[in-house]
Amino acid sequence: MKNYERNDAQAVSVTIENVVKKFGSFQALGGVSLSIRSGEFFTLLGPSGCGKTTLLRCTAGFERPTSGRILFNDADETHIPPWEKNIGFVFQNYALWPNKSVYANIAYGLEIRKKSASFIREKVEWALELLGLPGIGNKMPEQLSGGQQQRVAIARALVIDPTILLLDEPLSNLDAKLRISLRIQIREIQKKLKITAIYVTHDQEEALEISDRIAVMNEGLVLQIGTPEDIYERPAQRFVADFVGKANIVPGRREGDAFICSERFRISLAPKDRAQRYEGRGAEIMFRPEALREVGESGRADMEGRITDFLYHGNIRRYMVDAGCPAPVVYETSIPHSIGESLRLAVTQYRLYA
Amino acid sequence: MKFNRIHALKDPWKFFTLVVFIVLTVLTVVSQLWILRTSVQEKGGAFTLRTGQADQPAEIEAETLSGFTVHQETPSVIALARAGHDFFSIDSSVPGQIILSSQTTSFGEPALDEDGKLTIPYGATGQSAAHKPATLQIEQKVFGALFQSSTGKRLQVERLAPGSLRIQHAPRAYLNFRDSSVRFGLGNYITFFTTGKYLDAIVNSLLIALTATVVAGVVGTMLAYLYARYKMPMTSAVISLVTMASVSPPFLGAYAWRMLLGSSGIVTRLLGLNWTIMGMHGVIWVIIWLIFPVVFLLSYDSFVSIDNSMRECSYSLGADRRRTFFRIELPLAIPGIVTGLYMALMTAFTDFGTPYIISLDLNTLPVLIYKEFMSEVGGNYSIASTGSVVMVLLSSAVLLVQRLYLAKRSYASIKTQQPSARTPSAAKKVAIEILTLTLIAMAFVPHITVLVTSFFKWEAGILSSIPTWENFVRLFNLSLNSIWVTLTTGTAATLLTFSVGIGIAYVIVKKRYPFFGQALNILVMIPYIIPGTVLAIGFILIFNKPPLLLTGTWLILVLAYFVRKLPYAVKSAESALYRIHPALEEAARSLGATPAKSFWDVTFPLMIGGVISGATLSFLQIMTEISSTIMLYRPPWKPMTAVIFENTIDAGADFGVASAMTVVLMVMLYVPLYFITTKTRKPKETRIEEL
Repeated sequence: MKNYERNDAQAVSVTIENVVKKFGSFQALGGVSLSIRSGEFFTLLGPSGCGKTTLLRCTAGFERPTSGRILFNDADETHIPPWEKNIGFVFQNYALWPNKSVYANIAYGLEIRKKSASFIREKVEWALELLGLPGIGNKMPEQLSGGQQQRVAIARALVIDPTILLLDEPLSNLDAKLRISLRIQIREIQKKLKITAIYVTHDQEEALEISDRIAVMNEGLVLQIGTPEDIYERPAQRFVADFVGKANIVPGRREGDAFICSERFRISLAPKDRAQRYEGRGAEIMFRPEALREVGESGRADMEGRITDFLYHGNIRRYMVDAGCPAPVVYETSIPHSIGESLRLAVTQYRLYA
Repeated sequence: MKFNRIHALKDPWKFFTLVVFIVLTVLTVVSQLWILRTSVQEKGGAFTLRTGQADQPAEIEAETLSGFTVHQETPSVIALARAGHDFFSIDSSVPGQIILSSQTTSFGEPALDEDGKLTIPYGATGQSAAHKPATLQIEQKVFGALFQSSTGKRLQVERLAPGSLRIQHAPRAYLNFRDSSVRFGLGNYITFFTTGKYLDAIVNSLLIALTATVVAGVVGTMLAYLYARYKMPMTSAVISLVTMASVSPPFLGAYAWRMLLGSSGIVTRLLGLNWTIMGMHGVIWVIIWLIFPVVFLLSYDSFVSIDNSMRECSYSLGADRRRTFFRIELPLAIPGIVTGLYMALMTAFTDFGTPYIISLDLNTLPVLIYKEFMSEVGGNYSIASTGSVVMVLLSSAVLLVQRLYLAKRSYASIKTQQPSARTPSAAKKVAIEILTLTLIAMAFVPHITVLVTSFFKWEAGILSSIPTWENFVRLFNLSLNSIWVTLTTGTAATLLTFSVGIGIAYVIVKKRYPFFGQALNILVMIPYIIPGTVLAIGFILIFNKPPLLLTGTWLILVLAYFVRKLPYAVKSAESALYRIHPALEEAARSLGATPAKSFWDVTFPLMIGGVISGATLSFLQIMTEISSTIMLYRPPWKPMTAVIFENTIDAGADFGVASAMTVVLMVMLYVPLYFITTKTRKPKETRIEEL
C-alpha cells in the first residue's frame, strides 16, 4: 500500500483579492480580501446570507466574481472553471449520485483522471478506510445513514489528491453528536494529509474548535480575521462579539475612569480606555457571561444585582442578573444560586465599542 | 470559460440554441404569419355569367360567385361590387354582346390570347394609362352537344371609353370572369363573420367543446375523487385502463359509434330504431368519452398528492368531512383539475375526426377549415386561413385564461405521509364499482366494436354476420406500406422531438441565456395554441415552393409531428431537470468533469427514466394523429390513420380494412403502453402542471 501522505509543498495557498460578487442588483460580496496559508484550516463563519458560501463557490469556480481576483499559489485562477482546477468540494447535501454505488461515486474523479483500475481500487479502499468506512463500496447511497453519506462525500473529494479541500457547511444536516465527532475527524484528516482547507459554517462552536484561523463575515464583508482565540477574546466589532459566543453588550457612557449604565453598574476601565476625549460619550461595553467573578462584601464590585431568572445547562448555570441596566446581565458559572439572591460581580475581561 | 473565449459559434450550446431558435421560428411563427397574410389578402373574385338569349338577359350563376356582391339594377343590368365598393356593371340588353361599364374603374388595353382568353388590365379611374395594377380575365365556353364544349365564336372586344368595354360573344355562351387582383384588407374577416355558414361553425365548435368538457369534467373529477379517497380493490387496473383509453386514436370513437348507432348502424338496424347518432348530440357524446380520461388522470393525480395532514388539520380545527372537501381539498386540487379541463377543452375544440365522421353536414371550425382548404386548391385559401386565424385566437384566449387563473395558484405540497384512503362501506363500494364499470365500458365500446367487426364481412357498407379473415388479408396485401410509414415517421419524429427537447430544456433550466432563453421558452409553447389542422395549412403554405418543396413528403409529416409534440417533450424534460439538484452536477465538475461530461454522466442517467416514458407516450400519440396528417400526406407516404380515416368516410369505402387497420394500430399502441404502465406510474408523466 503506497504512502499517500504528502508534504507541505503540495498544499496550495489561496489569496482572495477584493472579490465583489453581484447577482443582478443584489450584492453578495462587497469586496473581500483574504489570504489563506498553505496547509491551513481556514473557516468562513457568519450567519445565513452573509456571503460565505458565495465566496467558497467563487474560489471553487462554480461562480465567477463580478470583480476581483482569486489566486492559487500566486497563479490567477479567477476565471478557471472547476473542472480545470484540482479541488475537492464537499456539499451540504452530500450530492452523492443516487444511481451509482459508493465505489462508483468515489472512483469517478479518478476515472476522469484516467487512472488504472488497480490504482483506483487501491485508492478508493484507502479513502474508505481513512473515513472509517471500510468495505461499503457496494452499497448504494440510499442505504447509508446521513453521517455515512457525508463521509463518502468527503472520501470522494479526497481521493483525487486535491490541492485544496472546500467544505460547504458539510455537517449542518447531521444530528448534534455526529456533528461533533465528525468535525474532529475532518480536522484530523486535514492535518494528517496536510491539505489546505476552507470550511464554511454558521456554527461558531464548530469554527472555534477546529479552525486555525477564522474569518467572520456579515452582509458580504469580512469583519475580522484571526485565530479562534483572537475572535472570541478580542472581537473587533460588536457583531463579532455577539455572533461568536454569548455576549453581554450593555449600552452606557464613560465617565472618568469608569463605564456607567446605572447606579449599580459601574465598571472600572483599564488605563488605556480612560482617554479624556471620550468623556461623556455613549458607548457599549461587552463582556462574556463567564468573564465575571463573584466578589465578597469587602471586595470592589463592578455591578450589584439580584438574580431574576435561572437556566440550567448541566455543566453551567446561567443567571439573569438585574443590575439596573436595560437588559439583565447574563452570568454563567457552576456555582449554585437561587432566584432572588443578590450578587456582587466583577468583570475580568471586557471590550469597548464606541 | 473565460468571457473572451465565448463566441456564439464556438460555444456548442449557444450554437444549438441559435439553430433551434431559427428552425422553430420558421416552422411555427413564419408559417402562422403566412396564414395571417393570406387571410388579409382579398383575392379578386370570380363568377360565371350565363349570357342572355332572345328574351332572357344575362345572369350570374350564383354558386360560382365569390369575392363580389351582385345587385340587379335593371332586368338587363347587373352591378358588381366588391367589399362595399362599386366595381362595374354588365349591360346585356343587346343580344350577342355585353357592355361593361364603370364609374370607379378605368380599363386599359384589352388583349386576346390564342386560346380566346381575354385579359383586361384595369385600375382606379384617373390613374394613368400605364398604371393598371390588376387584370380581369374572361373566358368563354359554349356547351354544344352533351358534355362537349368549345370556345365557339371567339370573343371580340372593343374599348368604347376608359370606363366602358363592349364584348361580343357567341350565342348561349358561358363567360367565366376572374379577377386576379390582390388587395390587403379585412374583407375575408367581414365575410367570415357575416356568413351564416361560418358563424355556425364557430358556434358549433364552442358549443360542442364546452358541453363535452363540462360533462367530462364532472364525470371525470367525480370518479377521480372517489378513487383517490376510497380504497378500491382494482384502483391500479382502473388507472391503467383509463390511461389506455387516453391514448386511443381520436376518431376511433366517432367511427365505432357511427357503426353502431348511425343511420344504418348495427344497433340501429337491430333494434329498428328511428333515431341516429349522427348530429351534434352524437358529436358531443363521442367527444365526452374521448376527453374524459385526461380529466380523470389529472384530477386523480391532484387529489392523491394532497398530503393527509392538510385534511387532518382541517378536522382538528372543527370542519367535518364535507366542509373539508369543499374548503380544503377541492381548492388544493383545482390547479391540476383546471389543467386537465384545459387539455380536454383544447382536444374537444380542435378535434377534426369526430365531427367529420359523425356528422358530415355539421360544421365545426376544424372541419370547415379543412373543407374550405381542400376546395380552394388553386391559391385562394382565404376562408381557410381566416378560419385558422380565428381558431388560433380562440385557443390563445383559452390558454391565457388558464394561465392567468393558475398564475397565483401553484401549490407544491411536500408529501410527508401516505394519504389514508378510507375503506368504503359495502354499499358505497358496489355503487362505485358499478359507476366505474359503466364509465369504462362506455370508453371502451369503440375498441371492442372495432375489434369484433374487423372479423366480419362487410357487404356494400353493411356488416354481415359472416366471420372472415379477409379484412386483414386485404390489409396486408394493399396497405402494409402504411404500417411502415406510421412506424418510421413516428420513430423519427419522437427521436427528433426528444433529443431537441432535452437540449432545449437544458438550455432553459441550466444555461439561462438572457434573450434566447426566454424567447425559446415562449417559442416552444406556441404549438399548444395551434390546432393540427391549422399547423398543416401553415406548413403547406410555406413548403409548397422550391427551395423548400416539402409538401407530400415523408419529411413534412415528421416535421409536423415534431412541432406538435415538442412542447410536451420540453416540459417533461424540464421538470425532470428541476428535480435533479444542481449540486449533483457540480460535484462531478469539481472532480474534473467538463460540463458536457458531467451532464452525460450525472444528469442524463437520472433523467432517462422519465424521458423514456414521455417519449413512448409521444410516440403513441403521434401514431394516432389525424388532423395534420390528413392534410399533409400524399401517397406513397400514407400513415395508418389516413388509411383508416379515408376508408371510413368515402362512399364505397372499405370499412373492413378500416376496422382491421384500427385493430392493428391498437395492438401497436397497447403493447408498448402496457410495458410503460407496469414500469412507471405513467399518469405522472401525463401531468403537465407547468402548462
